[in-house]
Amino acid sequence: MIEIKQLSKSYGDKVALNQLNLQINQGEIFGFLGHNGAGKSTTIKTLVSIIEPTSGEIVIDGLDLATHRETIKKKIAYVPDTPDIFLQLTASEYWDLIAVAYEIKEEAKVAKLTELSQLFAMTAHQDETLASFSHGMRQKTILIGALLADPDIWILDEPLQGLDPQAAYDLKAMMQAHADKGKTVIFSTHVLDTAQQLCDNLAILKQGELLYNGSVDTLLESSPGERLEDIYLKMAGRQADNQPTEQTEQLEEISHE
Amino acid sequence: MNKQHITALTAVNLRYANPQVTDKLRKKGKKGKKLTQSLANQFLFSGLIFLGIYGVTMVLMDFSKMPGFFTYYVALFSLLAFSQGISVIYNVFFESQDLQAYLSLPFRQTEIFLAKSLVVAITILPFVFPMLVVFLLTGFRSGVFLPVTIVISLLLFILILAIVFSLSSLVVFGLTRTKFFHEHKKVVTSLLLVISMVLTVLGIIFMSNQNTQSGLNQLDRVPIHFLLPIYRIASAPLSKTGLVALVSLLAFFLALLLVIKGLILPHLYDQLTSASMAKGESRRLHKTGQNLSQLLRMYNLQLVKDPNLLMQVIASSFLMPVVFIVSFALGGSVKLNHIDPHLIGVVFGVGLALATMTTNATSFISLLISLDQENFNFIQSLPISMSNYLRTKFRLGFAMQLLLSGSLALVGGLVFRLPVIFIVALLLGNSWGTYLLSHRYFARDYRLLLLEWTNVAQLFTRGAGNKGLVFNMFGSLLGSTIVLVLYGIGSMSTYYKLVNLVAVFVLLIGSGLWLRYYQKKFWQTFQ
Repeated sequence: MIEIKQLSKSYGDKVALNQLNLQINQGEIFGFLGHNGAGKSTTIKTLVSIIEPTSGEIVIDGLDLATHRETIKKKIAYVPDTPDIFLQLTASEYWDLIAVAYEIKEEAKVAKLTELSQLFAMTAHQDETLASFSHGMRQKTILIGALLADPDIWILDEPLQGLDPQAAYDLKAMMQAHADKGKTVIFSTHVLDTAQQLCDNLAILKQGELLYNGSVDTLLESSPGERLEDIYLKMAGRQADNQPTEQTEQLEEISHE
Repeated sequence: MNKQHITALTAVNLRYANPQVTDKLRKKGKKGKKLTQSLANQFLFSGLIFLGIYGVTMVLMDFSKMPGFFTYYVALFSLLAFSQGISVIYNVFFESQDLQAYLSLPFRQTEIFLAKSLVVAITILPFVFPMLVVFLLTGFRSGVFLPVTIVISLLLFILILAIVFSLSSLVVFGLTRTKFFHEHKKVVTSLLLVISMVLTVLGIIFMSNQNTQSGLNQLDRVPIHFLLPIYRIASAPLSKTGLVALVSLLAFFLALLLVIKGLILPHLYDQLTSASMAKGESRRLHKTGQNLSQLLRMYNLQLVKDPNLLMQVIASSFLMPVVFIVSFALGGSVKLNHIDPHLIGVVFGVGLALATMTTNATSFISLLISLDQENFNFIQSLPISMSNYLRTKFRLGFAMQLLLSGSLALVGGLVFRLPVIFIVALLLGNSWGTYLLSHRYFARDYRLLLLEWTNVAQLFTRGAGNKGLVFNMFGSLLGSTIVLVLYGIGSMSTYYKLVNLVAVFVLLIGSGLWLRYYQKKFWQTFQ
């Protein structure tokens, strides 16, 4: 279980996250929704130790992230929003690095990579550098790395961006299968249909504030006859709009019940 | 620390240190451990070559009887290591664009930084190898048992570098911890640049002026007293004074480690994650009504205005040649206020030679296209002339290079008290040489284009890598010296008119052919 307690992050005067409180249960698929700059990536990067919070606490399976960083990192595999990392490495070299980092045995690595690279149609490209890949192929390489680690918690920042329809379909199936094994999947997205299709629970953020935390069904029940897209847009409003809408306030009440 | 983690991380960083050599080796079918081994061998091999070159250059100096020169070289190369150390540590810890990619993986921070520092350090080592050669030669000439000399020299070399890098890290981590750094990142980075440069240059000037001959040995300099214990370690390691000095040096290093452990390490993670987010000023005044040339010039200026880039480029393309010229070309003070007027052509030639030293693979002109990163591909899609775009870049790069190289030539002319007309000749030679070489290095940047770099130092070692850099510096120094000495002898002979006529002819024809070549092979391809 992941507990986020009073998590805040500021950059100078700018508040990116304000006193965020969340609980993500084991085995669920949890989605972060929000406009650009809402705080989704900041929350995710804090969870994966890239960003140090200004205040607050993250507790994973009873361990405080600040004091058990190395142990917790082994439980997590992260797929960043832009897959432009380790570009000078070949796909095989990248996977080797991941295998060493997560201490995966050679035989297990080879067996899993054979299966995954076939699934993502990467077998023919494993000795090519990531720099020579398209966005989608880089994304696939990193996804394979994350699946290779087979972590308890899988965290993906905008994972479907740049993937071809087949790969996107496969990835969604994998996320579901991962959760079905009792493991946790956390992802951020702008695609509401995906959130509706996959998420057990979601958090809607706006300018660092939590607007809603709960299940998709509860959210839909709050406005009968409306689609998730309509509800979300009413709640989050236009990007420059700071004023809470009547609907926002109503939903905040529901989420706090 | 996990040995497997460090090995894997080092292997990754070795590939990053010289992407083009890595690509070449990959094309030869090398991969995995064999590729890593070949890359490590490249460094080892070039290290041995450097040791050989320095050894041959310095073998005639009997350091066992020259404690003054011994301490002078130790100070000179320690200063160079200090300024490079500041640059490297700042870069590895605060400017690496790939730090975030590592942070989420289950590696310890110490493992990530150790591997990164290790690889960057071995790229710097060849430039401070002369110090190791001095230690080896001193022990050898003092009659110390050879295996003891080798062990002690290596130990001393590592110990001194460790001390210098520890001091550099104290400066970097001290400054970057201040609140001022988070609010004014660019100012603090510039401050680091200034501190390291000023200290090094002042140190070199100070030492070069301390050239009073000692009474004991007319050929030696006055020793730098606080460095004499190091001389004792190298010349008589097993004597009582040698051993005491060695133990004291070790104790000093351990004390520094304790300071780092107590003051730096406990806050390192917070410092690094918050520093990577300290972006500094992100707003700029918008100037309206600018034409395309002005906009492109402004864009290119923004590319090179990064203080970290300035720090690295100036340290590599400017400071290194200065140290090399000072250490290998000049033994003492030279005053040229009564120089023979017949030598004006030679002084022009010195200007040209200086340009070959300062305009190299690490200069601004050699990086400007690659600095575009992904913008370069995007710009090609815009309806603007690529030729104009590149010419704007070239003009800026040449101007910056001219400013650096010209300043060095001017200071050199003034320090050596050249008459005004000779300073003008020196500056003209330097400007012309810089112009010619700018074409070469600009075209080279395009030929070896690397847009996916994560640390600007990766651009420095493209092509022939570190070997190429040092060979270029040595080659330029040796080649120019031979040509200039011959030209000088000719200019002082009765045939000086004919000699100068030939020199002018060679320069004009050579320059014409040179420019025509780059016009045809580079510039015309964009029209």
